[in-house]
Amino acid sequence: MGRYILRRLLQMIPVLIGTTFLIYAMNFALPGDPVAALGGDRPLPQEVQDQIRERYNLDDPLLVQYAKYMGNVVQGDFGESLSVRRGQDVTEIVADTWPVTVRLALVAFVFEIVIGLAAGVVAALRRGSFVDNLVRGSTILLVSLPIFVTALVLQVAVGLRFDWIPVAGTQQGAVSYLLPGIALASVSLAYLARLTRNSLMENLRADYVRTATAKGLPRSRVVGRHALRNSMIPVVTFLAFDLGVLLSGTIVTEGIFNLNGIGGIVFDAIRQQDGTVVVGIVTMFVLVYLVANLIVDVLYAALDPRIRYE
Amino acid sequence: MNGDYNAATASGRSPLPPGEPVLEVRDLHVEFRTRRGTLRAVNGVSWSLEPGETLAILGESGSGKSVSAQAIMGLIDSPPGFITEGEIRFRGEDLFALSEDRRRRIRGDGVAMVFQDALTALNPVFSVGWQIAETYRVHRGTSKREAYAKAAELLDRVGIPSAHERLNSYPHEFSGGMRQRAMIAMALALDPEVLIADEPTTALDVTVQAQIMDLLTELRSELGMGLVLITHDLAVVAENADRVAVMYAGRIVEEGTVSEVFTEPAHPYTLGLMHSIPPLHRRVAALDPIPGTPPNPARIPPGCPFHPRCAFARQHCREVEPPLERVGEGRASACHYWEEVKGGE
Repeated sequence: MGRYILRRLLQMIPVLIGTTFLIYAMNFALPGDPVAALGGDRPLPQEVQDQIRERYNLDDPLLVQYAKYMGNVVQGDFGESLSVRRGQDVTEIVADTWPVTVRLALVAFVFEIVIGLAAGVVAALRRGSFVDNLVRGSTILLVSLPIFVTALVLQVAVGLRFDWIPVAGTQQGAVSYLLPGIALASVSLAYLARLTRNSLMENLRADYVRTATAKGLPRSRVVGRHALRNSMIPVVTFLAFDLGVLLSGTIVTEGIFNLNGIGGIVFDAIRQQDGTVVVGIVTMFVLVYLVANLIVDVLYAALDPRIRYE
Repeated sequence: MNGDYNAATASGRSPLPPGEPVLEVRDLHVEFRTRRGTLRAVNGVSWSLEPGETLAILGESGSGKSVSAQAIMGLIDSPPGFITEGEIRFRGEDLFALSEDRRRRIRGDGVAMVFQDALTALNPVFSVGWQIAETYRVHRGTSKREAYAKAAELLDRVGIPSAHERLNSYPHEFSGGMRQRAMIAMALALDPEVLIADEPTTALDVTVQAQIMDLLTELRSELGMGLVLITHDLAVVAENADRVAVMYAGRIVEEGTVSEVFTEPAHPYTLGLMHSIPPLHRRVAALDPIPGTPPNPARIPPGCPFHPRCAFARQHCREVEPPLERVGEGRASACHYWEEVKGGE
């Protein structure tokens, strides 16, 4: 097991290099001049522009820039913001803003798991019933709506109708995360409900469920212990993968609900071509995603004894 | 603590009156309503099982033998399956008249079942010991420790070496024969009065098949339980059963003691089955299988369901379905011309 984890950690290095390079290159390839953009309508003096280019290595070729950047990253220096929060270290910006994003992602994750799992389980147990059809219909609808549409609908239909539900910002504490959390979770929640439904339905037909019934176990135990445990194997895989989807979803969600989190910063940074911020934060996202997947793969062994790691 | 049934069984069951069957199936009808029509899987099956007796239910796949066992255990998914007629009595009590909860308590406790393929019939994510202990724990309400001790005892009883260490093994870590032994141990956990074994050896190697059948027979006589042996294997029936009921198209077509039925079949289907196995000590140029295939349960032919495949068939057979009639002491046949079949061999 220890060797397995070590091997997985080593495998992360090429993945991390590959993804950061892709992000860096894409950012590099964006049209427009970030330094000129800084000045806005009034162009900056040539000396100032040169100074900035010099400081951020903007005149180097792509590979050299990337190598210099990674050299700093390895030492924990993610560079500083060019425009969004000019002069501030990316690590500092992240330290400032991560609590909002983590709260948002957690709220969404909880919504996804609670509602998605419950809907899936109920639909599977009452196959063909009204509830089942409702779950199947509503999940198709949710999956086909982009988050920003769901978010706007929620703001108008719920937020503006009830005073105590805020539609933007985080000033009102925990309740501020209600609508953004639901909006962010909506697509994943629908996928999860469908996956849970299908997985549980398949397992309810399995031979070992028949055996459990023949043993004289109560129905609740047959479903809750025997069928559900096996149904959770694909569900957990999906949840790990989905963590990455939720993280990238925070970018749009925080933008729409005006939350001061990492996603909101990335949202602004992309628009203002603040390369260091975009690359730095996305790199951290990738890292979180990789670690989450490793944890889930390890959890697998606990869920399914047929899986053993060497 | 677990209701009156368990209170009675935990402290030893009350003895049955002599001559009283422990399990009785009366005029059972089961059908499956599917989009392509109604499949009549079981059509008026009756049999009874004395305590300590082995009854074999012999038939090809699709003859309704497994479905009748599933009806006893309450394993038929409804929809699409429906028990439309009949009753099943365990110790004189009609199972269909009981509440779901009381019926559940009889499952595994009074009547237990062993399935064909132990690899899929055991839950892959729980250890073998856990699964055996679970039966005991849920029915008897004992502590985990006590249940595990019982599980080890049971594994030992069914011949699994170093049973105590194997408690934490998972089904996939067992060989096929060991899995079936574990399955049997699980069925025996509550000392049932009736054990239904549905093709218990079909998924196993020939050598292991004999071991498992020997184990079942030995346990049956030792524990005095009734054994319902569902199989398509004539040799298994010949070696292990006291009585045999031959099923065809959801009906019992012949019934009697194994020795009588095997030496003097009174139904053309049974006769055909006998002719379709190779004789052990004699070379034959070709086997003599029954022509044709069993009928589709959605379209069972009128009259005798076996008539399209039967060498004895005549006009009467195409029109009138023969009832299962007594043809001797403890023997019955559902053939209009059974005397011809029996005498003509």
